[in-house]
Amino acid sequence: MIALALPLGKGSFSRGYLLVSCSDAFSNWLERSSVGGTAIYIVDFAGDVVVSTDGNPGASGERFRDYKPHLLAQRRAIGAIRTPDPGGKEEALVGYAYARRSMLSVLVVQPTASALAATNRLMLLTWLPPLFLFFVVVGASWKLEDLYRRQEEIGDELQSQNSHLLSASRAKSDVLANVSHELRTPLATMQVSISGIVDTDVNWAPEQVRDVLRSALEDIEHLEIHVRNLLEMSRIEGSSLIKKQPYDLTDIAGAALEQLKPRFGEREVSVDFPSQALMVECDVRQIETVIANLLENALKYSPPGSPLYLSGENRGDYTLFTLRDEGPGVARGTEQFLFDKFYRAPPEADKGGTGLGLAICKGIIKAHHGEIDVRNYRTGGAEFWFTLPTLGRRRKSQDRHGARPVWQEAES
Amino acid sequence: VTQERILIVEDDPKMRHHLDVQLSARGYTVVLADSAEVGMQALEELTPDLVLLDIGLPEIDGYEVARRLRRSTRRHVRLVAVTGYGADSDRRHSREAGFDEHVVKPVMPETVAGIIERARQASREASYST
Repeated sequence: MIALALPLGKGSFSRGYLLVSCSDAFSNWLERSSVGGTAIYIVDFAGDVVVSTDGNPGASGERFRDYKPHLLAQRRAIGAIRTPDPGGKEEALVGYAYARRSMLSVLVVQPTASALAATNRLMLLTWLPPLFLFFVVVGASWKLEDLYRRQEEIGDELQSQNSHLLSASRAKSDVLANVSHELRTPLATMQVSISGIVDTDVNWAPEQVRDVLRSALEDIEHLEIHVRNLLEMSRIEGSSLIKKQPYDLTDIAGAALEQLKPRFGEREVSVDFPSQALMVECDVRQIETVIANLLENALKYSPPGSPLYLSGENRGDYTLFTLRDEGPGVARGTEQFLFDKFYRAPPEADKGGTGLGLAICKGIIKAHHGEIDVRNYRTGGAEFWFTLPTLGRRRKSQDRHGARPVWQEAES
Repeated sequence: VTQERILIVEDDPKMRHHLDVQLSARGYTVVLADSAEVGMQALEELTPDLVLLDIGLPEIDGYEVARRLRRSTRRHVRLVAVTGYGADSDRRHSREAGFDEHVVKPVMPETVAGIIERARQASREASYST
C-alpha cells in the first residue's frame, strides 16, 4: 500500500505510469511479501509480466499466454477462480483484477494442491497475506482509474468554463463596440450641425437653425434611450430590488407614447385601452422603459409612416399589453433569440442598435412575474405582447409564472 | 471664383443631410450619394472637384472605390477618406488606396473649407509654374 500510495499523491500521471515507474520498489516489496508459494503478477495487455513476486518479469511472460489471463480479466474486472486441481500442473490462477485505464491485470497464482501436498496443513495461514496483498493491489488499481477519470473530468470542466468565459467576454466586447458606435453616431451629427450653426461666417435663416436644433433634439433622445438601457441592464444584472406600486397601465403607456411622440412623424398610432383603469403592481419607471423599448423597436423595424396599434386589456388574473406594427414581421426561427441579450437581427434586416432593448424588456417583465413574447400577426407585421399580474387578483397556484394570453382569432 | 463641386458619399442619412446644409451654406455645390455604387456613377457623370468618401460603406468600401477610381481615370480628383479611425496604419492604408486626405469623423465644415483652400493654393502654384 505504501509503495503505491506515495506516487499517487504527486498528481499528474499517465496510463500505467504509477505501476511501472515504481516497479523497483514495488517488486522488492512484492518479493518480500511472497508467502507459502503464492505469487502475484502484474501483467500488461499483451500478457507480459510487468512486476511479479518471483522477481523475474521477462521469464514468466510465456507462462501466462496459455492462461490468457488478460482476456479473462477484461471480461470481468475482478474475480476469483475455483478450478479443480488441474493435476500434473504445479500452479493455478486463483484470482485476478483488471485496471482498464492502465491496461494492467493483477493475477494471483498459487501452487496446485498436488504440488503443495506436503505443506497442505499450512495452507490456511499462507492464504491470508497474499489475499490481503491481492486486495491492496486491486484497491490501488481502482484508485488509479478513479483518479484518472477525475483528472479527465476536471479537464473537461475547465475547458467548458473557459469557453463559456471566452464567449461571454466576446459578447461584452461586441456590445461595447455596438454601444460606442450607437453613442458616437448621434454625437457626430450634432457636432457637425451645431458647429456649423455657431460659425458666424454664414447667415443662417431661423428655419435652418430650428431644423438643426430639432435634429439635435432627436439625437439627444436617441442617446438618452441608449444610456437608460445601459443603466437598466446593469440594474437588472445587479438584481437591485424593484419598487412596486399600484399603477394604471394605461397611464404608463401614455407616458411612454409621449416620450416617443417626436419620432412618430406621419405615423398613425391607434390606442385601444378600456375606460376602467388597468391596475397592476409594478415599478412604473421600468414598465415605461419596456413600452418605450417596444415602441423604439417597432419604429425601427416597420416602414416609416406605417401605423402602430397599442392595446391594453384586463384578462382576469393578468393584464395584457400588445403592440402591433405593419413591418416585415419576425423572421421564422429567430423568435426564440429575439429577447436574448446582445441579439441583433440578421445582417440583411439589422437596423443598428445595441441588442439590449428587448433583453431588458424580458428581464423587467420576468422580475414582475409576467410573460413577454412576439408573434407574427395574421395580416402581417409583428405583434409584441406582455402580461403583468392584475392587482388584487390572486393568481391560481398552477398559474404562478404568468399566463399566456388566449388569442381570439375569430374577429377579422 | 468658381464654386467647387463636392461629392459626399455617406450612408448615414442624417449626417448626409447636415453636411449638405453646412457646405451648401458656404457656397459649395453639393452632390449627395448614399452608396458606393451611386457615388461612382456620380464621379463619372458630374466630375466633382472634391469627394468626401466614407470608408465604412456597406457592400463596396471606400478603399475599393478609391482604387477603382484611380485605375480608371487619368483626371485627378481630390479624394478625402472619411473614417472613424486615425492611426498611422489607417492613414497609410488610405494613402496607398489613392486618397489625398484622411479625415477622422466627424467631418467638420471648417475642415472641408481648409482642404478646399489647400487645393486652391496647390492649383494656383501649379498654374504659376507652368
